[in-house]
Amino acid sequence: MKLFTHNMLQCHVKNCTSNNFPLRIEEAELEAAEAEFNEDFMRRIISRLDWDALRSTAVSLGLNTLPETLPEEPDEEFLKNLHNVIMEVG
Amino acid sequence: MGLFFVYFTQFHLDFRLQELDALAKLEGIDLKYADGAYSNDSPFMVVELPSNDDATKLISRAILVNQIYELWGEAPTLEELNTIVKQNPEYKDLYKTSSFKFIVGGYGVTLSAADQLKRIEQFSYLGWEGKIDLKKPDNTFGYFEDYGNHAEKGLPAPEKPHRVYLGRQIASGNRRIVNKYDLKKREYLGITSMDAELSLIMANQALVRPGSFVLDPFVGTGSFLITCAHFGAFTMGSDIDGRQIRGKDGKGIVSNGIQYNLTGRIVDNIVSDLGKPPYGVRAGAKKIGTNDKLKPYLNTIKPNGDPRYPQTIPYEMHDVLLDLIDFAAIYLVPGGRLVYWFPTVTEEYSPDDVPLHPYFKMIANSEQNFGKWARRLITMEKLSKEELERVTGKGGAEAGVAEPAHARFRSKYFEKHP
Repeated sequence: MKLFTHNMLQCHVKNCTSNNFPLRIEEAELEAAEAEFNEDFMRRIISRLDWDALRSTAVSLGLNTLPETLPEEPDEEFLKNLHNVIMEVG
Repeated sequence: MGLFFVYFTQFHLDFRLQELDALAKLEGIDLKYADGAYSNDSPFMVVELPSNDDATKLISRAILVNQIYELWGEAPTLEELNTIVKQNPEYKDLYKTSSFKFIVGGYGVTLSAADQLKRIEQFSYLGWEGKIDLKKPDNTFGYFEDYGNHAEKGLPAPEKPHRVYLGRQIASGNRRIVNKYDLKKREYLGITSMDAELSLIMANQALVRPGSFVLDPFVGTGSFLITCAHFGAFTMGSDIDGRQIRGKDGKGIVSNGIQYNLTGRIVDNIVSDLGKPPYGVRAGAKKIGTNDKLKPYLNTIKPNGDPRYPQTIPYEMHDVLLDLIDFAAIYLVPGGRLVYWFPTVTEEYSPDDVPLHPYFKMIANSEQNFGKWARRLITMEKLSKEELERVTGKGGAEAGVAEPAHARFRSKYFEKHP
């Protein structure tokens, strides 16, 4: 599962944690698969990401390239890195 | 501005105009036509477009268009057509020396080779001197006779056509793509796989383009993901039935992505009833739940470490649809489109049966008829941000994402017709 998808999923068990989100990933094996980079797509979905959940999950998987907060004006380099983390690692 | 005529295919008649309208919107083209210009009883339709380039762009993705022609004339009879064509000396001069091919076609009639040749020869007054080239002509011209749809009604074809058309071919539609995604060549299939042609039409109805994000909450074997990914969308599917997603023996949605070289655009598929389960007539609908309300949900991991999929219960069709629309009301991007199939019993169907929602405009409703029953492809478009602000009384980002409670709109129809 890509981290992009993970960022949308909630546990369906009531009161699993305070807000049932994000799902904790245990004993995961990471795989990389190339996906096409589309800047428009990245710019549009960025506002829908839960940044704290994404970053903490990424860090728990040993991916330490995301900044603590989402930059106000994301540049292409940032978007490409984000694309790699959420669309190419699974 | 110029006049053109569209030459539609004779498949999925009820979808043809709706697809053309969707493509005009997708490409941002100012497509104009008169009321009544289109009929399911004719493959020809006169339209007005800003330029030849727009005509090419308009049908470049069209599944249900054969070709588009620059309109030189349309008339009730060939004689009247000739009069119109002769009035324009440009037709003679501009194409005097170019190589050409001349196509003659008919609707509701079969013209013999000799008849076709006769029709072509009678246009010799155009005085073209270029050579005839059937393989790579500079220009292709088309003359078409419309005899009307009589065969289907059990009537003999009339002696003469009621409308004739002459024009210069500008571009062809996108039918060859249907063959590329033909289910016969697809590695992984299931009973719910949607045929390539309709899946492609659905992608057009949904205005899918590069960078779109598509969710199919009834993904099944992923037919729709394939065609949407083909048009450049990033796609995701979910289904209550993970067996369909995973497939077996190495063949599944993932392997189909590999077959068509679209893996980079098929993001993930999840087992979930988020948008609820498969619906339709073949796959009985299920949703997550237990028949025994007192029993707690079981742990998601079985004692042996395998994942446990939740128990499911039957799910009524109209509930599925309303949940689907509610889901879209909450999560779909403003201006985004919801495209789904609505199964109907032909005799009992009334247009009021299709659920409406205050956050959506009804765009299209096309019937695929199977006799006693039919299914209808419904296209709804979520209001723009500004329109949602007016409806919800909220501004900014809030307007785009409705509160679940507010979005839970229950159609009056289903209250009246449980």
